[in-house]
Amino acid sequence: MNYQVYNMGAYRLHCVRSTNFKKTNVMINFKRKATKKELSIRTLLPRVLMESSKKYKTAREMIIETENLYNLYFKSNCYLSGNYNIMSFEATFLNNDYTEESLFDDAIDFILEIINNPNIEKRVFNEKSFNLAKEILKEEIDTFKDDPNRYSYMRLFKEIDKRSIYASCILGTKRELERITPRKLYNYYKSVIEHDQIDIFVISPLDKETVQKTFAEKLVLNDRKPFIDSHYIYYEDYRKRTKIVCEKGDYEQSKLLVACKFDLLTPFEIKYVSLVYSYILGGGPSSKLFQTVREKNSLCYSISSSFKPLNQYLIISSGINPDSFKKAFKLIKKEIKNMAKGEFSVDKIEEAKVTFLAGLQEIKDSPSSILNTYVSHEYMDADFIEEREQKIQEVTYDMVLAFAKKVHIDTVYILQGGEEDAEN
Amino acid sequence: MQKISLKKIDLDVFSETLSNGLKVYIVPKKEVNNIYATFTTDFGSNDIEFIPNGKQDYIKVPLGITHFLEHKMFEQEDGTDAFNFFGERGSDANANTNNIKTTYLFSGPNFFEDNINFLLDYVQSPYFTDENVEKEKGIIIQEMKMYQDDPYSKLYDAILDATFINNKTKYPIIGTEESVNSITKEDLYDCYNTFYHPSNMVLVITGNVDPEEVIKIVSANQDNKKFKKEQKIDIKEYDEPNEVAIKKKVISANINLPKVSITYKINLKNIKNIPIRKKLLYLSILFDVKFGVTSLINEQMREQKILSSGIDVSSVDADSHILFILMGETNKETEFLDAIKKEMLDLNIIESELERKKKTIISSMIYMSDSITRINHKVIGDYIKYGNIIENNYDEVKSLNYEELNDFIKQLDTSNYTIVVEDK
Repeated sequence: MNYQVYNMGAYRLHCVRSTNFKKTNVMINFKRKATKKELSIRTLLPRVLMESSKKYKTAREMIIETENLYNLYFKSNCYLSGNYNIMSFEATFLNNDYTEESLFDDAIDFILEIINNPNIEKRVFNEKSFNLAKEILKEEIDTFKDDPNRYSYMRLFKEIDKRSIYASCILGTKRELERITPRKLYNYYKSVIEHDQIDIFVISPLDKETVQKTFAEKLVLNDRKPFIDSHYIYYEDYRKRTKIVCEKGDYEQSKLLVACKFDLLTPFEIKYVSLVYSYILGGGPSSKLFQTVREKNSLCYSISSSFKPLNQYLIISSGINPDSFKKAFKLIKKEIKNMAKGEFSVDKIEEAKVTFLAGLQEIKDSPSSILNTYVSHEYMDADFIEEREQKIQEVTYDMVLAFAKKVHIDTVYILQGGEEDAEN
Repeated sequence: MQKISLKKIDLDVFSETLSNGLKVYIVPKKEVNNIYATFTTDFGSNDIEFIPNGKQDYIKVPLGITHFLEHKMFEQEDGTDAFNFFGERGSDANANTNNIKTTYLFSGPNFFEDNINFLLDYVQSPYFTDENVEKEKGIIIQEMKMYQDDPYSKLYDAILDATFINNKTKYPIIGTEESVNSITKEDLYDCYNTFYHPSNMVLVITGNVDPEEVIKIVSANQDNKKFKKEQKIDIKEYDEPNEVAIKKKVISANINLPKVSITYKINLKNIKNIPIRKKLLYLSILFDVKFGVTSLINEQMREQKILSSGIDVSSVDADSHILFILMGETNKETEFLDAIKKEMLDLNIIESELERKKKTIISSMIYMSDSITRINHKVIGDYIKYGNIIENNYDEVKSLNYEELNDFIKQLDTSNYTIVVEDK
C-alpha cells in the first residue's frame, strides 16, 4: 500500500494514496492514558464541539453545511484502546472528480473548524451548546441499560475485575457529568489540544505531498511528546474456580457471556494463533459452538466467540432460552475442553486461514478498513496487510493446540430473562 | 446479454434472462477484490394467501413461514452444511427475509465458480422433514425473543400493527410463537413449489467478475436441472383503507425513557400528474426538510428540552401506502405531538432547501456506487419493485422542481395518522 507518515511536530500525519474509491476518508485521533475520572468529560467534549463552532452557531447550521459539502459524513466518538482513551473524529467526502467544485480544501476546513475553532466566549464553552450536549449524554447514561447487550458486557467486565477501567460505563456517570461546567470543559479541551497525542489518517486519491501541504498550512499546533507506553494490558492471574454471576433482568431472552483468560501468550499467539483458535471455536456458523449449541441442541439463535487482543480475553457471547443456562454452559465448557484435547482438524485450520486471507482482501475494498489497519499498526503494533498475509500461514496445528491448553474460564455472567430461575 | 449504463455513477449493468425464466444481473467492478452475489425470490412475509402451484384454491399459510423457509433452505439432504461450504472457501453466507422478498447471499473474493454453483444448488434443492422442521422452531423462537428485547424493534412492530388493517405488513416478518409452532413441512413445500421457480427469482452479482463468464457458469448450472413449467402466481389481494387501524396505542417495554411516535399513513395513488418515483422523492424530501436533522422544529424541540437527541425520521414503503414515522424519546408526549401536528399544517418549504436536498441525494448515489453491497441492493430493489433496473435516477432527481413540489403538497393528504407510545 502506498503509505507514508509525516512528522508534523505536534502530530503525525499518516497518508495513504488510493485511486480505487470515489471518496476520501479522514480520521483525526486524540489519545491519552485512560482514567476513570476523565470518562465523562472526555465523552462530553466531542459532543459539545459538534453542537456549534465559531462559524456555525448551531448543530443545524453545521449539518446544513455538511449537505452543502455534498453530503459529507462527519462523526465523533470516544473509545478505550487498552490503556488509552481515544477521542476520534471521522469524515468521509466525495473526491474532486465527483463534485462540481474542488471539495478537498473545503472539507478539511470544515473538519478543522469543528475541532480547532470551538464556540468559546471568555474562555468558557458556549453554555447553550454545552447544555444541549450534556442533556443527550445524561439521557444516554440513563438508558444505557435499555440495551441488554451493551449492559451485559459492562457487567461482565465489572465481575472480571471491578478496578479495571473496562468495568466502568464508557459514558461515565451522571454524578461526574453534573460536576462539569463550561469552564472546566474548556480547560480540559485546552489540555487535550496541547498535550494529547494526535494522529491524523487520510486515504485519498491526491498526492501525499498535497495532503501534507494542506495540513501543514491549516493545522498548526505546539509540539508535544508522544506516549510511549504500550496499549496492551497484561493481567497476572486467572481464577482457579470460575466465578458465575447471575442477574435478573426484565427481558424475554437471557444473555450469557463467558470470559476466558490465558496463561502468558506470545505476541505471535495474540496476533495470529488466537484468530485461528477463535474461528474454530466460535467464529461463525461453521464453528464448534454454533454447530453444537444452536444447530444440534436448538438452545440459542446466536453464539460466537471473539478474542480481545488488547487485554487477551476470549469472550463467548450467546442469547439463550432462560431455562437453558446449565445445558448451554455445559456444552460450551465441553467444546473448550475438546479444543484443548486437540479435537479439531488441520482442515479447519486451513479454513480459518482462507477466511482470514479473504477478510484481508475485503479490507482492501474499503477505505475506512484500510485506514483502520494503519490505526492498529500505530496503536497495537499490528502488522501491515502484506505481512499479515504471510504470517497467518505460519500457524500450525501444534500452535493452536498449545494455545487451546492455555485457556481458562474465568468469569461467567448471565443476564437472566423470562420467568425461570437460572438454576432450573 | 443486455447492457445499460447508469448515468453519472460509472456503472454498467449487464443482464440476461435464461431459458427457465431466471433473470440474471451483473455489475462488474474491477477495482475491488470482493464479489457479492444474491439470489432472491419475489416471496415475502406478506404473501401468505395464494393458490399453490398445481392446485386450484387459495390457501392461507401461517405467519412467519417465509422466514422459516429461509432458515430451512440451509438444510441439505446429503448433510452438507451451507455455512461450512462457504466458510471453507473463506466466504460469508447469509440470508434475509422482508415483507416482499427473500434473499440468499454469499460474499467472498475467491472460489467464485464453486460458490455461485453452490448458492444455486442449495436454494434449488429443498429438504424438509418433520424432524428438521420441528428442530428449527426452538431457534426461531429464540430469534423472536431477541427482537422482543429490542425496544426499537418492539415499537416498530406495534406501529405497523396500529397502522394497517388488511395489508400484511401489519404482522411481524418472523410471525408469532403460535404461528411458528404450527408450521409443517407440507406448508413449506407449498410455498417453495409456488415461489421458488426460477422465473420468480433474480440473481444479482456485483464485484470483481466478468459478465460473460458469469452467464456461462450460471447457464450451465441451470441447464442441468429440470423445473416444472412456469406458472403465473396468484396471490390474494387486499384493499387497504386510508384510515389507520388504531388511533392510539400504548405498549410497555423495559426502558427508562418513553419513546413517542406519530406515523402518517399516506396514499400516493391519489396524487395526479407526477410519476411515482418522483412522488416518493418529493415525499421523502418534505419529511426530511420538515423533521430531519436540518429542520427548525428539531432544533426548537431540543432547545425547549422536549427532546434531547432530536426526531428520528424513518419511512416504510408498504406498496398500498407509504408510512412516515416520527419518533422521539421524551417525557413530554403532549408537547412533542402537538409540535409535530402543528408543523404538519403547513408543509411548504423554500426552494433552496429543495435544491440542497437534491444535491445530497445525488451525492448519496455516488457513495452507493462505491459499494458492491449497496449496488447489489439497488438492483434487487428496483427489480422486485419495478420489474427492471432504473437507469435514470440521476435525471429524475435533477428534474425535481419547486413548482411540481408545490403541486404535490397541494394534493397530499396527511390526515391519517396513528400514535404509538412505548413506556415502562
